[in-house]
Amino acid sequence: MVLAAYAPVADLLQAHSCQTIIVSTSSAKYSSKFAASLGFKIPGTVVIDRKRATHKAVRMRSSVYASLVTPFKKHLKTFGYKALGEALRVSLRNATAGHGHSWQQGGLMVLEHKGLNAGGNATCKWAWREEYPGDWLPVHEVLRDALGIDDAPQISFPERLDFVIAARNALAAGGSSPSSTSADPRAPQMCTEDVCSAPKLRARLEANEQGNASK
Amino acid sequence: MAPDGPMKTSTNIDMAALLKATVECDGSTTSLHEVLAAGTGDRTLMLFVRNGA
Repeated sequence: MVLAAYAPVADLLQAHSCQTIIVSTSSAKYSSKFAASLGFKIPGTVVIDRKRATHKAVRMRSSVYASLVTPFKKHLKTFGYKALGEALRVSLRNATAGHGHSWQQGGLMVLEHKGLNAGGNATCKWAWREEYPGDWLPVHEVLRDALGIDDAPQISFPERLDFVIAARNALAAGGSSPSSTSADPRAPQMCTEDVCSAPKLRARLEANEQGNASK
Repeated sequence: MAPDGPMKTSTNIDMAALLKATVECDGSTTSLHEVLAAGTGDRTLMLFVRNGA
């Protein structure tokens, strides 16, 4: 979802002399298959950090509670307690060795590093550490507040979810998705549980947006 | 510690450790310093994604 949200502003970021680096804890094999199954271009350079040295350096949160419980506490009215147990069951069942660190939270950092090749320094100018999965800031606010880009379009996370599903389905219909044809049992699988269904995800994203709008 | 309040948006990071961190990029093992230096522009937006997404 984060990748899909930043895909529409990838060119805008480049036009403002800002490169994008995507830090993943997944294995190289998983990341490659995941990227190939997306159906759209990844909006930056992917680096893999299985040991999470970068996450520790920038003090990103890692928490089981934040991964499993907090999202549902935030949106309990939408999902109810039953969904919490179901999410736990699905998360544990779907966890594989290559898919990345389940409890590591994400976030955003903006670095300035003029002349780094010539011995210059790098500094952190802006940071956002997610408290729980889906604790995302609106993309246009990130570009405005962190990078001074005032003309970024407003990105709708529910619309991005629809886009991800459509892109994935289009790729699957063409029969070229590696994840759908691989015999590797550790290959990423689409969750078919109701809690992961598009309507449930959409409801959660809309609740997120309403929460952000009321802040 | 939960990243509430100032911690959530603090720019106080261990830059030396961050630049020295070993990562895989395009099939090669390198440092984040090298990745940043190889890119274009003087600024970088880093997206720390969960489980590859």
